[in-house]
Amino acid sequence: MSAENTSWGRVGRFIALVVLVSAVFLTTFSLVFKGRVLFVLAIAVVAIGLISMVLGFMLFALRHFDEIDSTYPEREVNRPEIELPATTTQPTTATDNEQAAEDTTPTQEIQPVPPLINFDDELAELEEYFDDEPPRQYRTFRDEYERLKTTRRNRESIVSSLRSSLNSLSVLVDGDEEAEAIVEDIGDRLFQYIKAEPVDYIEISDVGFFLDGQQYPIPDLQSEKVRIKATINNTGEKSNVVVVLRFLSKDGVQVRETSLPVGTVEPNGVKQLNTRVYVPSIATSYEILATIPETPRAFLDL
Amino acid sequence: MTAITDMARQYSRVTIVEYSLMVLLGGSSILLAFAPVSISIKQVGVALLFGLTAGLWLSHLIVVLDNALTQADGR
Repeated sequence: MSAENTSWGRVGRFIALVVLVSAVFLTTFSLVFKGRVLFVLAIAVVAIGLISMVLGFMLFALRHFDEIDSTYPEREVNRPEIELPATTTQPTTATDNEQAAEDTTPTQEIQPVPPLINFDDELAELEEYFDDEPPRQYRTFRDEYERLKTTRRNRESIVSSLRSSLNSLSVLVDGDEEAEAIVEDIGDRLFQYIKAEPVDYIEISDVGFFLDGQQYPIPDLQSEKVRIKATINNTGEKSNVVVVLRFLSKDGVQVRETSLPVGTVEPNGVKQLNTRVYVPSIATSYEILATIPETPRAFLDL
Repeated sequence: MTAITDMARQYSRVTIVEYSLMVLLGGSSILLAFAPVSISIKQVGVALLFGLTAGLWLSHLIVVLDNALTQADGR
């Protein structure tokens, strides 16, 4: 990999572009304007250049320049790249594409697959069933499945095509009860995956409200700032979870709603919610549910 | 032409719109500075166009930073 593609190369290019564009504007302004007008415009150019530098270094600290295109989850496909306008991006586009090409080589690391569509055991059994000579239909299915394991992008469309290639497989195993059951199970789970919303895989358990380390029911905690603890379990895809907590009065009327960001929960991952909330004076019960916001909210996981 | 299609594949639609507008507005700002118009028109026009370009650039950087923060949280 050339120096151009390292994070230092990228941050260097970013700084060079900011300096270059600032210099172009400064030169133009100083040629055309004089006096106070020039002074104000020059201050504006320098200020924007400095702010860009600060933001650029923050991005560098967040290791943004390390990973272009490779590790972003599907949800964030709209992520913009850090480059200045088109006239200056053409050479970098080429190098970035080379990098992207490298990233799609088969040596890619395995991405965790949700348990619902993890068919490792089933495929091993089918392989045994077909002995040493698996038919073409099975190989197609297996290759698609391997593709599912090495990418997070377009997972849904891969699952759909897996499901359609399963049809020809079910014809092959017709007559053998055991293999039929396996294929049917795979089909059901694929269908369930296609149908389900990501939030259906998030489970909240062990919810408790604590004051001074002691757990109490809600009516005993009215008008107090208390600690809420809960366990968030994700059996689906990697998701950015926000827990919504609602306090209800004794008539079941909602008196307060709080959003508690949990952060990203990996497939098969567990996260603990542990934060402080205010219990309204007339709250007697609560409702808790997990949500996945459309656009992930940025926050620091402290 | 291939450079344009490559770019379209690599960047999101929002980014392409932002970059195009930045090139357009920034370029107009510089062109207007050298255009044969009265100095007061120049002052207002150039400042306006430069301000729009800078605003787009900064908002673009903020969105990138916001995404990087979300991503850093996922690691």
